[in-house]
Amino acid sequence: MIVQEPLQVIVWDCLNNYEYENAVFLAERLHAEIASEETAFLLGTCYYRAGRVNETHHLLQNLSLTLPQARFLLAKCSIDLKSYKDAEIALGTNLDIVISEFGEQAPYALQLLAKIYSITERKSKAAEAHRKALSLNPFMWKSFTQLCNMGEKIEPSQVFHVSPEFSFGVSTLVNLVNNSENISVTTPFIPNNSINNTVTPNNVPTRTPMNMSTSITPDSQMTVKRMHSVFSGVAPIPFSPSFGMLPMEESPVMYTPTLTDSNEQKAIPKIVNSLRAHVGQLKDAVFSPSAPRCTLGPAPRRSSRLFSTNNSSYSVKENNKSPSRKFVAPKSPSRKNKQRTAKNVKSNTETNERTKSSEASTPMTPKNSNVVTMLMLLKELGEAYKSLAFLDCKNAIKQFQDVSQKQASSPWVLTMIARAHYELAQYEPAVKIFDDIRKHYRCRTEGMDIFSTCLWHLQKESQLSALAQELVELDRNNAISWLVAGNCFSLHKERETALKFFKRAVQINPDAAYAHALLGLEYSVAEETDKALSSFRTAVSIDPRNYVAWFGIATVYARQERWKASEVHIRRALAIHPYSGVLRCQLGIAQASLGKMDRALATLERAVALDTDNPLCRFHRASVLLRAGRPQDALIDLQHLKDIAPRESSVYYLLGKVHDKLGNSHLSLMHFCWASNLDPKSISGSGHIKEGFDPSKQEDSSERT
Amino acid sequence: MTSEKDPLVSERSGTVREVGNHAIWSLSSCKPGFGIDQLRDDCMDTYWQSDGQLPHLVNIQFQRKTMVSHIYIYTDYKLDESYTPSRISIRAGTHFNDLQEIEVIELIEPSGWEMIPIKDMHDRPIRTYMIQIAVLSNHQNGRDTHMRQIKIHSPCEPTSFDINKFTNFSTVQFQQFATIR
Repeated sequence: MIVQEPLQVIVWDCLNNYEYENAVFLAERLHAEIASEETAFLLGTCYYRAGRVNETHHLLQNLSLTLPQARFLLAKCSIDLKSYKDAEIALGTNLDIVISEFGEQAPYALQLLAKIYSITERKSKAAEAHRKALSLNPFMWKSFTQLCNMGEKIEPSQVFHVSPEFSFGVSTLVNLVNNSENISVTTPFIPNNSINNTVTPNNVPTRTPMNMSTSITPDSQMTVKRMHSVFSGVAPIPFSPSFGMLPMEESPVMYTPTLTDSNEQKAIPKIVNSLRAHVGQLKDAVFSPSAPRCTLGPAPRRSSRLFSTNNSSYSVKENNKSPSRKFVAPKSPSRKNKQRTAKNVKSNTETNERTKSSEASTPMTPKNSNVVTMLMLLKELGEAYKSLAFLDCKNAIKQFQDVSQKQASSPWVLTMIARAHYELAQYEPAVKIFDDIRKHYRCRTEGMDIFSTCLWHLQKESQLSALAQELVELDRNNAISWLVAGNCFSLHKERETALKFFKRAVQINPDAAYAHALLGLEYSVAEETDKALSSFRTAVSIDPRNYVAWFGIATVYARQERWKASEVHIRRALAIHPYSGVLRCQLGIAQASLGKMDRALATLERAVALDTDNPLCRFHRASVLLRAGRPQDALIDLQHLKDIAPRESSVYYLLGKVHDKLGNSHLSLMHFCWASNLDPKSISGSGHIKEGFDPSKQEDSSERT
Repeated sequence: MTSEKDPLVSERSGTVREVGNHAIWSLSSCKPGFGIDQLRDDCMDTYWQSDGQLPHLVNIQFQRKTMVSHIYIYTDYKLDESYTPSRISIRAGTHFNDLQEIEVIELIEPSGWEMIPIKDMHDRPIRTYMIQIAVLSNHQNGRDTHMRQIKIHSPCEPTSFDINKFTNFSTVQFQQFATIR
């Protein structure tokens, strides 16, 4: 007869050590022996972590699930498998009920629901769910970004601040800690145990379990009950004993199972010192998902800990909300600089020393200050991200650069700044930043698609080829690698290959709106308008704020000379990205083609004023002025452009036409000569020059279109 | 007309596109394993071998009227000798019963790509639904023919579009702002 609980502990142990095959085997044995919902949930978790999503789904879907964790897992699998209806049923439809049922897990459940709603085109409900998730847990950064990306108005200062209504955060932790304080009799309870994470591997841990049990046993039952009440009222199920198991582990990720024996007091300074010495190790500790961040109270009360219903900690993958508060565990390690957490830890250490001396300190100060600092950081980054999402790029760049130096040099922040430059069509600075990121973080693919687009604009063929080659070699299963490769071949004008790679990218990740947009652009250049339009429409249905796709549709219509439709779509794109000089230029061109010369000129005026670096605004203004019959004004613009870009053949061509209009035939011929000298091969060059040499009605009539 | 020219170079310049993939190809005859796939596989080692009477025909039918500017044929006298075509006729039209001969070329011991520019009376690329490449005779009076690769080029973007829109600039300084991507 297999006893359930120890085996569950063992399975969790395997999971915490990433040994999924082992865990699956043991969990299967347990489930076969005792076919209950809890064992099914455990087995499901093992399958899911091992990447066997289908099996998880199959296992859980046939059970009538009462455990919120199990429902959550089922919902997650269903979403992965794209059966959104099942997921929605598993989670529930009324958001408030979801909050009450899922307790600690509610923010995550809400996030999942929001995802379902946004995919099934219920944007307002999605926004509502995200907002609720954020109000419960301000560290749900993903919800914040999703809201920004959807174009919802949200105030970072309101979101990222400590509020008494958090159900999973500080207050709960505090309660728990206080409770445990009361419980442990002999303990000079050190509240900021979190910092005692790195223990020189072998010394402390082995002692504590025994100490723990001696000091705790009489109260273990009470503790369990208390924990029940604090966290949720669900029947006790074993969860990942990240706390309990830790003392046994040897990794530097260890934390001292919060020594709670007076004997241990001597150990504390040692631990603190070793902590200082091991700050380096701490960096790893921070990001190890099995970091037993929760060092609430006398940790093991190991036995009681194991069997408590601390839902938040069972899943190490998901953010350990409650414990992490103390430890300032970064929610997205890739973003937060490792040094920063070390810094927090150091400050924690200092406060620890202080509190240690006081011996009976409240857990409030250090923990709260960490939380507050983190929230402040999130607020700054949130403001900056919001600016970027609403395409207020100049402000975004400033705000990102105002963040603390350590954060500002982290790859995520740099990527965001580079993206802001890209949106402003400032490709040179963007490329420089991306180069920098590439040098230091070779394996990072996030943002590389934008990098490749910047290189495409700048026509840096060799750099783009190198990037494509490196990324494809690095990770063939990543859509971004294939987007980069596609951009590379598109630059080389090998359309078929570019199309092939973009299609591959879309196949790998059908939810990436930008991939669809690029595919559509490639189709439109290859003149397959139907496929182009369908790709663009897919992009827009995934992300209505993807202005590249809207602009793509506009170009397709422009090619077909359906100027009205083209103008409508450019306006749509412009509404999303009002500071874009390029878009405004194109709007001007569309308006000019429709014959609305005055409107066109006004638009182009605005474009020139907005985007001073973009010579095309002036160029198109000159061209429209010419067509509107104001060659003299066009001349001013063109002279200016001639100074800026002396080698641009189109400038000379247009000058030629202007002079032709003005009647200076010798000047016009001269300019046409220059134009063809500069660029003999281009279609525009040869085609236009031929017409230029023919000072006949033919030229005039083509202008008057 | 018989200059050695690699079609890829033109494709890379962005002025033309290879449109063979938009067409339906058929042959008058072929030996098993030496058919259309070998003719369109971008590999010069594989070839089409006909298996019937002269003239041997390659029919290329487009779904819509397509502008064709050049046809490239890869043959190699050194490898194929008597199988190398010597006289090729290009016909165009709307369907099989409506073809008109527009070009005839003579090849003398060709080795590599042959470019055949397709122009109508006004020196512009033709717009057609169907192209037929007919091999009228081979070197050394061979009966069957080998053709290693065929490519069809169509010009990109009609020039009238450019005049108004100026989408192609000669300097990167201008070109980078030409479009949103």
